[in-house]
Amino acid sequence: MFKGLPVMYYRELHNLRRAWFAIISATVIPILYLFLFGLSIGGLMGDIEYEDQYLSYFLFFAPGAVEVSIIFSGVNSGGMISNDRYSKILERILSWPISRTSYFLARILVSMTTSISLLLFVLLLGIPLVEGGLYCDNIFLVLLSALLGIICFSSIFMSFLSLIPPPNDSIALTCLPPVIMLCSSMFYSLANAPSWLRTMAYMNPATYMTDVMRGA
Amino acid sequence: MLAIECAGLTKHFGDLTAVDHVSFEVEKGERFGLLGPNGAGKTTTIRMLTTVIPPDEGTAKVLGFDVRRKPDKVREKIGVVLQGLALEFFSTVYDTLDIYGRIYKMNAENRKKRIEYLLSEFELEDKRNERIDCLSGGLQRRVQVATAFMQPPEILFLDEPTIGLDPQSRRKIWQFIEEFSKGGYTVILSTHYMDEADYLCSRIGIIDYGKISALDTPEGLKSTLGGGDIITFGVEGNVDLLRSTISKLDYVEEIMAGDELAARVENADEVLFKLSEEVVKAGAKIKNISVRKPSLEDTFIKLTGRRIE
Repeated sequence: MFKGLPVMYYRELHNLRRAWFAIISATVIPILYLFLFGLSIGGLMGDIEYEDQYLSYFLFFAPGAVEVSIIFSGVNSGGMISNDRYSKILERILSWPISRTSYFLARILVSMTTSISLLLFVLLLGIPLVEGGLYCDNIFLVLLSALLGIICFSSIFMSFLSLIPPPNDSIALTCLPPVIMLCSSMFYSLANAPSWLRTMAYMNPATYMTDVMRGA
Repeated sequence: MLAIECAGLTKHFGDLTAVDHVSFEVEKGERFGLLGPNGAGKTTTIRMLTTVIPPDEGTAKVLGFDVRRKPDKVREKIGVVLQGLALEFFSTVYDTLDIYGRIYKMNAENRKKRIEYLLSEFELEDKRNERIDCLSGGLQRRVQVATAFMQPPEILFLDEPTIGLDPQSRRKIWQFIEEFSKGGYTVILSTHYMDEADYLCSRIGIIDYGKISALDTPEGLKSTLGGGDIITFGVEGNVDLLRSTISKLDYVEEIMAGDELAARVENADEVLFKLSEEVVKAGAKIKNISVRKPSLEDTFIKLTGRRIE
């Protein structure tokens, strides 16, 4: 079932090394979100009521920013399938002595590797920069939530991109992330959200991942 | 022992039957060719045999393993060169070969030795650190073929391996395939180049509209025409009328199908002058004349009624 997983993991990491812009964008985008939304828009939003306490918007949004990076990891996983399909290497891979499971799992493992590194980076960056500091009582819960998020979103985007033929796959990659991000508790509290949005958010895994991180 | 056994292999894509009840067997160590025009069903047959797509009907066994039931076992034994370029375009030549070595679980030392050997054989030594996307089409193709030889497979599938290559690269790949097969390995080649099939294959299956219309050695296929010589006239005039006129001559064995005026005769030396006179008498102006032995292309045209474009 996991035949060829180490070599596929190696291949993915090797390819990622060359796709340095993907790593930079995966690092910069959540940090940009964190500072743009957390500091700039946060000033306009004021404090947010969460679990019977008031949090600065920056602190409220920090788990959302981590979730942004996790969603973008999923987008990258899906994008790599598109890339393999465009470069026709997917057909070649199908005749390699590796299992189909290993092909997909290797992508998820690479997303885990990069996203967890990124999560730790965001936490380390956030601690000295934020007044009061980013903190968590249960780092394992944060990591678990992040890992589940990566598995979930990488699987969603890879399944989605496997089903949608080119050229619509790239359009799907552009359209899907904003919907997932905006219909969740990543950017705002759902307490005062309209009921239809709450319903959508409760069907969205991003809501649960963010809430677990926020609670931890 | 049989390397490949196909029985009633069929594949549909919507209303199109790409491969229509194809059956053939290939012995171990054989160089078997599938010859046919674009869209004949060669690639689909190879895709089924290499487990990329499942057949809709029929059975196919590769080294005794059913492609549907034991695809993993099949994939362990085969090497594949696809028709289109399928490479990691941002990797270097060396890294590309290295990945293939890892896929086939070669240890570091063997991998290094094999890469050096292939770089030398395919004349890619000075390109080892260049990215694939920076290479010319011909060099990319050479890299693609080289990847299939990283771990010598028991059966090598080559789908149009020399398409779009310059003559030098083609010849290089032909030589390598020849050398490879001397080791007792089986080669399955699909091509629409007559000379390639003639030169490389010990047996050829002519495939058209998804069906195999003939299967024999290159010499066997050519002999179906009955030997002799083919005289071809480049003429100005009504070719259909000329065909009808010269077909009545008793020394003309056969009028060849195709656009040109060509006739098969038993001995061109004896009848060339007479036949030319008849053509002129029939009102045509001869621009050129050529004499040759029957080729695989003549057999193909006879069997399918069309020329490979």
